[in-house]
Amino acid sequence: MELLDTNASPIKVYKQAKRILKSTSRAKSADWYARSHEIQLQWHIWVGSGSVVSAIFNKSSGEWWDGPELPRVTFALNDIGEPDGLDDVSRNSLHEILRQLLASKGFGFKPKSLGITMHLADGLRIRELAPDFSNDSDFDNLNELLIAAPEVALGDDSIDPNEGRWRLLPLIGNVAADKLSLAIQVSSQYESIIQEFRDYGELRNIPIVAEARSAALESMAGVPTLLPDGKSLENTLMLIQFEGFTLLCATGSKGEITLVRPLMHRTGGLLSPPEVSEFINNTAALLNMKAPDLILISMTGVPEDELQDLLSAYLESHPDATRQCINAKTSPLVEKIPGNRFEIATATIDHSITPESSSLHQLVSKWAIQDFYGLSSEESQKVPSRSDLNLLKFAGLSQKVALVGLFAFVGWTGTDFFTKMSSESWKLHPTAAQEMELRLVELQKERRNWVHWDGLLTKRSEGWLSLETLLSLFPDNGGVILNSASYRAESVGSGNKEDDSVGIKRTWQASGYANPEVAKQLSTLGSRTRLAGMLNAIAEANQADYLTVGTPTRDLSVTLQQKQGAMPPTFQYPARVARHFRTAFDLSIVHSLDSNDEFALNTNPINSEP
Amino acid sequence: MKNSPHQKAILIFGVIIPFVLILTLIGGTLYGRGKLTANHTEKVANFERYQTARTQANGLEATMGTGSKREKVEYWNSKINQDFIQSLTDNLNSILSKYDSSVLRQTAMGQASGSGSIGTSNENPSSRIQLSFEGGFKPMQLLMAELETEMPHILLESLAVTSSPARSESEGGTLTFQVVYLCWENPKE
Repeated sequence: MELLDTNASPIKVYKQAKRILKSTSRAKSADWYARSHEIQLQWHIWVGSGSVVSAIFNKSSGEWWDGPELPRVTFALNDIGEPDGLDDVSRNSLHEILRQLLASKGFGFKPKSLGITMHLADGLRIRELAPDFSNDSDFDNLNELLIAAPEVALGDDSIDPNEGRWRLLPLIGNVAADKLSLAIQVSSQYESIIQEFRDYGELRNIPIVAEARSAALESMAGVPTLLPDGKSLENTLMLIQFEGFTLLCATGSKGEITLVRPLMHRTGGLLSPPEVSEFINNTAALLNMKAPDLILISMTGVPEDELQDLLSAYLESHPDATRQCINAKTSPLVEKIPGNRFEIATATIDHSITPESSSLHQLVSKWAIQDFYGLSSEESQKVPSRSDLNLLKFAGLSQKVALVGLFAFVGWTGTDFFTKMSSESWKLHPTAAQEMELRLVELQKERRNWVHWDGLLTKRSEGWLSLETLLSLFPDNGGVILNSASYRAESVGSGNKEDDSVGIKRTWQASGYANPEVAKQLSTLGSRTRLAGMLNAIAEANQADYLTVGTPTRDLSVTLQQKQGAMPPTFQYPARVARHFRTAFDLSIVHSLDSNDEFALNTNPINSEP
Repeated sequence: MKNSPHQKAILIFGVIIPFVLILTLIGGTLYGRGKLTANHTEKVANFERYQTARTQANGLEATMGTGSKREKVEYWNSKINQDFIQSLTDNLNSILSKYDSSVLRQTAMGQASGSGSIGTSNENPSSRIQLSFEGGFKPMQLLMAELETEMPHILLESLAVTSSPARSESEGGTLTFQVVYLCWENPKE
């Protein structure tokens, strides 16, 4: 998979992360980011100088099976004749093995991922770091330097990076020494196979985690599991025997690692007893160890008595030396593992039994299980981590939720917009209310005008009707001669200044003479009841309601005075006529209505009308 | 802790930029909605004002539309806006021209003395006029009826009728009428 540099533009890196999230299962499956020994189905390949062991391991059940045989591989050559990756036949062979493993149901479950660990026991090279770095305690950064630029870390420009892969081995616990770490190299000849395994996984989107580890380091770190309980590794010299070399490892008085060194088998077999004696003596002298404990372990299956024989030369000069010989292939830890390889067991067993304070425990938890074909930290950063992809996934989900929320909000707002904009109130012209209010003001003014003038001009006192009243009271039949008559209309206030209306009082007065026949009936005019009846009749006949009597708001009073007295003769009424009119009378009628009457007069100006 | 390049890119392009855009859109929508709501509230208030005014106007229109109120007011205004003395003189001349002076004649016209109670009790402006006539009862009654029809804004304050004795046997007696009218006037705007 082509990946961008870590310094690429953020938008390209973001697009790459989206593509990886979309096209791979890296976010879903944690196995993409696991170590090979953490995956449930594991394929362990042990590679020695002259043999190969293949084993399949189900981590959940702890079961082991013989693994598929690794095919012989050949390389394709480039234009100048140099190897350029595996050829198609080799690639197809490896792919077929992986396909069968992943399709197999014989391991107790359907595998969804595969961890492949190649334990390289075909050789080991150890060098000291350049003086500038030999006492550097920042092991992680030093390891990165060793991976990326071994010629710098080792201070040797002649180093060919393609020879092998270098990793750091800290001398754990050896804080006071001049050298705090060493550089270890394994062969890179199997890197194409490991890379092909990885490519297969990426091509088919299946987590295949392939690693290459140094079998020697794994064995050295696993030594405490082979020792009897309580056996310490202080002031000890360990000789770990492989097919082509023996790893010499020394610990100090506190268990710290003071020396690691591969001893090549020059004769093609094992080290001879004199060689073993010489190495032990020289190392003890070098490290100033007096009577070190000796541990001789064989990873190749050499029986313990033969291992004792290898120490015979040394024991001649040091008969009291404490020693222990172990054939790792007979350990209970490896009895179920095909080929009884202790290195494979070291990668799969629980190391919690090793004391945490032990320097070797710290090795086994990190440095002894390094992937020698793994990417540098900078290269690893090109691949987005699972947390990055989960963040991207969460961000995408959040964006979708936010977009749905946004669309819902915009939709709701749009509907609200539409509802409001289609409402009657929205369509109303802005000036319509003002125009209607002006129209209302005009109408109110018109109504006030009407109320004012209608109230003011209502008939309350009319001349013709006042004469008609006199005519009705004194019919023109010759029985009455009026001397004078008058009529007067006045306002009658209630005395309360806050009242907005006043009553009306009408007064009729008449005086004259009546003849004896009429005089007999004239007295009936003094009756209020009769006069009220007369006024009501006049009002009804002339449609003049203001003249009626009988409601609580109206009053009527009558005063009639009669006396005997002859009317003085005139040219118009000579003595012969006047002598018949011997009764003089004075009549006074007061008809009033109060301020509560419907015909009361409104006193307010026109503008104060409601 | 130092962010990986991927984490940084994802935070920028997957979280910050999209959410800033979304929040900007939400903010813009909220702003627009706020403006629209304020506008709508104003329009609703305007509409309620319109409805209230229209309901009242319709009620007033219905009131003013019945009983020929507008025509009456217009008629009244046409009368009130005329000069009172001129109008009164014209009307009296017109009416009296129908009678022989021996039947009914006007003997005097002038401003009434004192102040009438009706006029003073009302804030609407008014004026008073005193008229004198001599003649028969019925002609006078007809004159008053006709005058009060032609001038609906006058109100009779007082009327005094006295008989004048004949000076000779050949003459008939006559009646003297003293009339005081109150005339309502148009208030000054």
